[in-house]
Amino acid sequence: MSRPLLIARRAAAGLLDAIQALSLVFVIIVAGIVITALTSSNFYVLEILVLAVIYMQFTSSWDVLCGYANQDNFGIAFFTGISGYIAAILNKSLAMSPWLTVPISATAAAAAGLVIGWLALRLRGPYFALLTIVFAAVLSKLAYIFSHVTGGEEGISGIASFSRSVETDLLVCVALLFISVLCMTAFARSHYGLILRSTQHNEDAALASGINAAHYKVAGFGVSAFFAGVGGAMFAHTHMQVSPELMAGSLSVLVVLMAVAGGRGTILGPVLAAGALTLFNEWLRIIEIYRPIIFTGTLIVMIYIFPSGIANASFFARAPLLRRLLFGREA
Amino acid sequence: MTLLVASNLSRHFGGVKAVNDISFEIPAGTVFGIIGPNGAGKTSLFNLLTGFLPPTSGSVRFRNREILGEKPYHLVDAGIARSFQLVKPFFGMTALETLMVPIWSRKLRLKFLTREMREASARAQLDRIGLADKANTLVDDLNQGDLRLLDIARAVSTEPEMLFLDEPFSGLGQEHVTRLSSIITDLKQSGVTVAIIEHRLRELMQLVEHVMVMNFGSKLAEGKPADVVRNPAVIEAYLGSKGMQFGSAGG
Amino acid sequence: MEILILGLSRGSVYALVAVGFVLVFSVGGILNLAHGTLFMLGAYFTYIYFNFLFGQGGTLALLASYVCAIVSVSLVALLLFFALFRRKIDSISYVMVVSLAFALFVEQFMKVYFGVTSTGVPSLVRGSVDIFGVRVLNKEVLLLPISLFALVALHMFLRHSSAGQSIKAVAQSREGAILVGIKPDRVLAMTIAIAAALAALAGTLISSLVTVTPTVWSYWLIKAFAIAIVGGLGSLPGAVVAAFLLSFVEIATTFTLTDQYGELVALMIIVAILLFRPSGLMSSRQV
Repeated sequence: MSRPLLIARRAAAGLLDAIQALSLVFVIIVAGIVITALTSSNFYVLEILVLAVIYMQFTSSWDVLCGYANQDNFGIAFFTGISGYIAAILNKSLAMSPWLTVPISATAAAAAGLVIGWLALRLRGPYFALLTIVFAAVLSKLAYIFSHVTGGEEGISGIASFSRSVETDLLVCVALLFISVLCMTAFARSHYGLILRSTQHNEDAALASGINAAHYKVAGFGVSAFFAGVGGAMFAHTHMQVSPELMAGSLSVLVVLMAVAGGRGTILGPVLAAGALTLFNEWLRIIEIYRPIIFTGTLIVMIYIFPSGIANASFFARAPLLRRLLFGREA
Repeated sequence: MTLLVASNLSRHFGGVKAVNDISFEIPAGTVFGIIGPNGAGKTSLFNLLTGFLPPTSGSVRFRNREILGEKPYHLVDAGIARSFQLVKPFFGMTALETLMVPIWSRKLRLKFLTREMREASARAQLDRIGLADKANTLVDDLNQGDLRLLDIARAVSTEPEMLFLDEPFSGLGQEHVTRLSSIITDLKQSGVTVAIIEHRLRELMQLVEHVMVMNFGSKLAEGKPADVVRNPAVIEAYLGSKGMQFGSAGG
Repeated sequence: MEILILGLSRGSVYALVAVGFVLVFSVGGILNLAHGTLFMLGAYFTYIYFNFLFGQGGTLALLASYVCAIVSVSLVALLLFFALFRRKIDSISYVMVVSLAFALFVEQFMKVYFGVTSTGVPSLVRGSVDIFGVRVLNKEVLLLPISLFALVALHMFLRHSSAGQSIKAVAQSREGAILVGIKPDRVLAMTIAIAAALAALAGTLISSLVTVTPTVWSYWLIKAFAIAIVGGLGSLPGAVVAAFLLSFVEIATTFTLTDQYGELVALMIIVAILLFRPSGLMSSRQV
């Protein structure tokens, strides 16, 4: 069998497997969002759902590398930022349609991810964490320095949205999220996920098993960056503007916290946590001034109660059916 | 036929000569023992031979091809596998998953094309070390003896021609020792060449045909176990306290 | 000349912050990402005590607020350790994440109660002085001797007191320390309190010099983190040297280029060190 054919067959089998493994709860949530988009005209609700979908995209893209390779990327905003800005610039100055800017900017983010992944290969733990922080910081400094291109503090506004209505925008986003989650699940359940997990604790044994661990780590970086990039472009085309916040350290940190609270290495755990926490944060607006305190306080409590994340809590280990419903099928 | 030839192999760490100008040959189909006191450079030698340590100088030819300095995963393709002295399992993975990893090496990934074939192969390897019933157990919950056997099974899974085992018997109870001995004998019968570093000389002497003794990074003696035992230099330099045990095994 | 003086005074504050960060890492094997927050709290507590407890009194009141602030921050750090860190202290990832969550929490708390704008405290000394023809603010001059004094005191404490000895013992070998009857948990708590005190001292010192906002913690955290790694994680002398190095590079580039470029250069240097010499500048051994 020829090599491309084999890869295509494996990819197809992986996607099929991911569909079979899909969490029922996630399907219901996606269906719920679709129904809301089709029926509701409450602008506020739709906007919040768009935001929730974007955060789900961010956290799952973080998890597909970091949850499996057990490396803490504190600079996911590098990828969301670079992709968001590229999408914005392509759209504004070349009048490119979102259907082109999303794949192009996500691919650019993936390329950046491959480079950073390759550079970060030798680094572990705190060293890896610092490198990711610093790269994101460099990017945002560059955005200030080249402010004639990036708009500096103001960012770039007036970007075209996916469509004319918020409803359709939401549908586009949720479709992108659904496809992304499927692809990432397939990746994580494939031998890529297996080998990334094996390198967590003992890279030497993986090497001695004939595995070129570097290849898998760099690939994981590329995949994570690609889907983070899809999220960044989603942000640009739904908020119709990008600002340095899209590449800020605070965004990176928030993504890490939500993903860890959800349960790393499960894809769906971070997705559900990000969705729930975004909605919770909006709901807290009824007590506006204390909202951020309660929100960050909740994060601390969640991480304290479930140090390995909710999806990895021992509670679910004892309730396999519930686990299947919420987070999808185990290997 | 000679499978592996090491010539003038050296590795220095600063002023320390961990491996110092060692030459030896491993004939195909044999079990080759490497013994020596702690710090003699045995593990460093293994690391050189399996691509985990860049050499200072020398040459290693495997099936008449120079392999020194190649990456570990390329050596697996060439037919060289190893186990580790300190077993660090793939935490968070099951025993079965652990043995799925080598199947994705370049050497094997085209051999097992479907999921069923891959799983069957991993299960067969688990069965060989007697852990079939623990296929879905997390390695975090396996005992030290099982983990060591699992690491050896991981090495064997790569279908090597030449297998390096770094202190495979250390920390094993009697039951695991028996199991491992029969695994090594089986491997030899199926044509695999095995090199073993060992401290537990009693088990080793029953298995090996050829022994090399190392001390301070250099080769001290080499030959049949029974002859090495009688070598005065070996007795003086290494055996000392262990002479009794050694003598009883060899005699 | 100006670069030299500013570099020295800024470097000494960096050193105070970074040394504590490194100390906690070498003793506990953990990275406390709330370290920048402890620094920030030092400044805020000074402000709180001075304005609300001591009613903006004279120099004495200011000194008292300094001391109270430092003690309070140490207590916060102890609380952080016992309430949050101890739950899964063996996981470097858990401690990083939970300490970051704490840092965000404090940031939001401060935003609500003190606003996003800066908070200032009057200085201990006023006026300025000429040093080799350069006019420098007195409060800037004060930083170096106080920091040096604190660092020397830390050195003496680690070297000569029995508590300091036990800290060094745990840093060298946790198992060994347990064997001779040292409780590593208690030692780590003490280390975190000391590190917090140093960070708080830096915070109080700088509170009259630069503006303090609720988001300032991240800037100082990255500084401490970078210094720690440039100096070689686990090496206190390395951290001190790296602190001055980084401050000189920053000040020098800020003087010759613009602010933005200055920070960019500092970041690029950190990247280069991470990539080419990840074990830090002071360590002679490559990892």
